[in-house]
Amino acid sequence: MVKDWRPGASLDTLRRAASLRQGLRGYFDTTGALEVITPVLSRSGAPEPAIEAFDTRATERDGHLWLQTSPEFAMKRLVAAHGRDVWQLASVFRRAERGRRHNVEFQLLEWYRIGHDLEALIGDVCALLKHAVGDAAPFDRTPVIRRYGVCVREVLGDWPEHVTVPGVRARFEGAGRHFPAGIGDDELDAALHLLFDTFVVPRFDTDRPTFVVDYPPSQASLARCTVDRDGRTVAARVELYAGEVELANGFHELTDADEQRRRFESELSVRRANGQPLPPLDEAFLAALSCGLPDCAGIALGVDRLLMVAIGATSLDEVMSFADGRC
Amino acid sequence: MANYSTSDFKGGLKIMLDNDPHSIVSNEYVKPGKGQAFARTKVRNLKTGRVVERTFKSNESVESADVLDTQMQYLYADGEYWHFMDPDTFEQLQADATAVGDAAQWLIAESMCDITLFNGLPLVVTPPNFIEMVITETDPGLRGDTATGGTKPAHFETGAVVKVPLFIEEGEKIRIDTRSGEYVSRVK
Repeated sequence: MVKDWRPGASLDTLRRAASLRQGLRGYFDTTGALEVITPVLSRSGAPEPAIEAFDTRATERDGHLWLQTSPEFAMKRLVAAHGRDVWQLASVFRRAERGRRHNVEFQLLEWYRIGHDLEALIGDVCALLKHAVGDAAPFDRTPVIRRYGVCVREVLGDWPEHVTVPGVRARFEGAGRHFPAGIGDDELDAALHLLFDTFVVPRFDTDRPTFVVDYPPSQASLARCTVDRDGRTVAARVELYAGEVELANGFHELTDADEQRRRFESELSVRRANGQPLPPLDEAFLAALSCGLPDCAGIALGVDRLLMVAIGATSLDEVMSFADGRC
Repeated sequence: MANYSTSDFKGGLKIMLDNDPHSIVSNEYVKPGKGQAFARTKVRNLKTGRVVERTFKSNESVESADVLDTQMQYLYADGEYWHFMDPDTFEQLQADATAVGDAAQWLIAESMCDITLFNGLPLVVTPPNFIEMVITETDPGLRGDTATGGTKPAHFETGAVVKVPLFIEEGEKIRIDTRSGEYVSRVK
C-alpha cells in the first residue's frame, strides 16, 4: 500500500500559517524585541518531572545531547547578558506527547520583556493576539482574567492550599466521574491538574480568551512567588486558554539563583524517585541567574494551537504540514 | 499476562478492569503544559456491554485481557449448553446461558456466529446480522390485505417471536434482522 504522503494541512491553512508568522514578526518589529535563535541541541535539560526531553545517541565525541523542550534557559541567558527584550519562534520537542492537541514536535513562540510584571505581560499578549489573530474568534473579544484559587474554590468550596486528594476524589465521585486509582494521597498537584481540567477548564467562555493567574506555589515552576489580594502566597504565573485549549504559559520570572537551584534539585529528586531520566542541570543558566537576570516577564505560546483555534480546527494534524503520524 | 501502558491505548484494545474484560472505545491524551498527563478513556465492559469513563495517570500499567474475537459454526443446544465448532479445525466449544443470552432465539444450526472468547471460554455470542427461519405458528393470513400495514406475531422453533405482515403464512420462510428483531422480507 502507498503510504499517505500528503500533508495534513490544506494549502489555505498553510497560507494562513505563513501570514500568522508574518503577523507575529510584525508585532515584535513594532514593539521592539530582538529576534534570536538559540540551540535546539543542548548538553543539559529541564528537570520538570511532567516534561520529558528526547535524548540523542550521538557519538562519544559529540557527547550526550538533549533536544530542547523549550528555549527558555538560553533566552534568559541572552536577557542576562545583553539586557534586551528578545523573541523567537522555536521548534521544541517533548517525548510521548501525542493526541489531538499534542504533537511531539511543535512551534513555541517565546519572548521576554524587561521591566514587565504579570499584568504588563498580559497586556502585551492581548496586543499580540489583536495584531496577529484579532479578526478570528475568540480573539476578537476582550479576554477575561480568572484566579486559579478562585476557580478551585468555586468547584471545591476551598482555596487550593486547603484541598486534599481525598477531597478531590470525593468531588469526582459526587459528580459521577472516575478518579484514577493511580493518584496517591500525596500527589495533590496531579489531583489539582485533573480537577482543573475536568471541572474548571470546560466552563471557560468559548467566545473570548481566558487568562488564569495566581497559581499555587507548588506549581510555580520558574515564576517568582508573590502575595495576592487575599494575603495568600501565589506564583506569578499566567496561562492563556481559548475555550478549553491551553495556548500559553508565562511567568514574572524568578531571578533568585539559589531558589531556582532548590526548585531544580527538588524536581530532580522527584525524577530520581520515579525512575525518570536525569538530564544534567543547566549550570550556565544558573550562573547567568547568579550574575543577575533583569526583572522581566516571559511567556511561551503554542503557535500550532493558536492557528488551530483561529481557523476553527480541532486537531493539530489539520494545521501542521506533517504531524507525528505523517513523518 | 501482558500489561499495557497508557501510551499503548487505542480504540479496540482489550484490558482488564475490576476483574472484567473491557474494550477501549475512545482515548484522549490530556496534559496541561506544566502538569501530569492523563489518558481519559471510554471503555466498554465486554460482559455487560456498559460503557463508562475511566481516567488513568499517564504510564499507569493496565493488565491486558485475553480476549479473542472468532467465528464459529453453531451446532446444537443440549438444554444447558450451546455447542459451536471451528469449521477449519473442527475444535468444539460450549457456551453457557450467560454468554448466549438473548442470542439463543436466533441460533439456527450451521449458522456462523461471532464469538468473543475470554481466557479461551465464550464470553459473548453474537448471531449473524440476518438469518432466515421458517414460521412454525401464526394466525391465518388475511388474503388480499397487503396494504393496511398491520402486523401479527409469528412464532419460531427457537422460541423467537417476530412481528410479521398480515399476509405472511405459517410454514413460510422469512428474513430477520437479529439486531432489531424485526422482519425484513419473505424468502421464496
